[in-house]
Amino acid sequence: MPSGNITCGGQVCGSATFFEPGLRDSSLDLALFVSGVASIGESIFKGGMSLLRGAGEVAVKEGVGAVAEQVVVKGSKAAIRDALESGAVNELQKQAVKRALARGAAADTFTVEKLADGSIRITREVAGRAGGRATYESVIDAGGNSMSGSAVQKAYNASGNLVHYDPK
Amino acid sequence: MPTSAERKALERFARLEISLAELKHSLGDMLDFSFGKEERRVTSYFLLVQPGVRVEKKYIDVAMDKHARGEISTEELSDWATMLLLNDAYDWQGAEEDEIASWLNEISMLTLKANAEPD
Repeated sequence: MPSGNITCGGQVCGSATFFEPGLRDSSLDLALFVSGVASIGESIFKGGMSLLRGAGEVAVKEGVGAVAEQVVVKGSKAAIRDALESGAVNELQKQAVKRALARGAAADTFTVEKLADGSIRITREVAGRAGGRATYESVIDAGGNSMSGSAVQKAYNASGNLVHYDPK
Repeated sequence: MPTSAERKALERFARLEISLAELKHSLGDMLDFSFGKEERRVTSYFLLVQPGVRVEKKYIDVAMDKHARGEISTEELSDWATMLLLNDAYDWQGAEEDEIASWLNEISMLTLKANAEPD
């Protein structure tokens, strides 16, 4: 599958993997899914069903979901915008991704992943001033709409451990 | 798509004219959120709102002024920013988008436990 770096102003600012337009259907999803699941010795049926249950579970079942995903593009806001213009996601999802991009700052790192059911997950990582980081995730279905329960914010300390929000 | 009343509620919340509880009351089952200790999650059952409900930099100034005057708590301020960040009905594409995003993120993180411990 073709892939490569994205350059912004002559410098590498992200990387991308492009899907064959003719294969953007369930057969590709299944191929990705099979190879991913086989690699960890999980049951194909069990894994597939888990991924088809809905956005909420896709968003939280990171262990299973990750094997059936493919990073479409990762990098800066500029890198993702370039990838969008190159057809990295379908037209319906494009508007939602653009809005998600605008929610982040130029210094944030974005990852766009294709999930097994044709939806895409956008993750934005924000470096915190105290050395930790926050992540914002959302899952956009093939029709370009956010999937139920998929907009999630988490925060991690400098060691990568999940930290807590507390009312003050 | 939201009704005109629902859209108005979203707009008023963006300007912090109504609370999160009032927003939830106005939108009913169309909006779910769970601001837990480990993660904060928002579900909007509207299709992608077009055009989005605009968020301006001046709204952040107003919110911070309210907080400085003690009209809203730090938790309310943080929850406000988090709702704007997680609810894709809100949109701030434009020249100020980076600045708005940075401020909202900083405000949203205000309620992180001061001495954060590993999970």
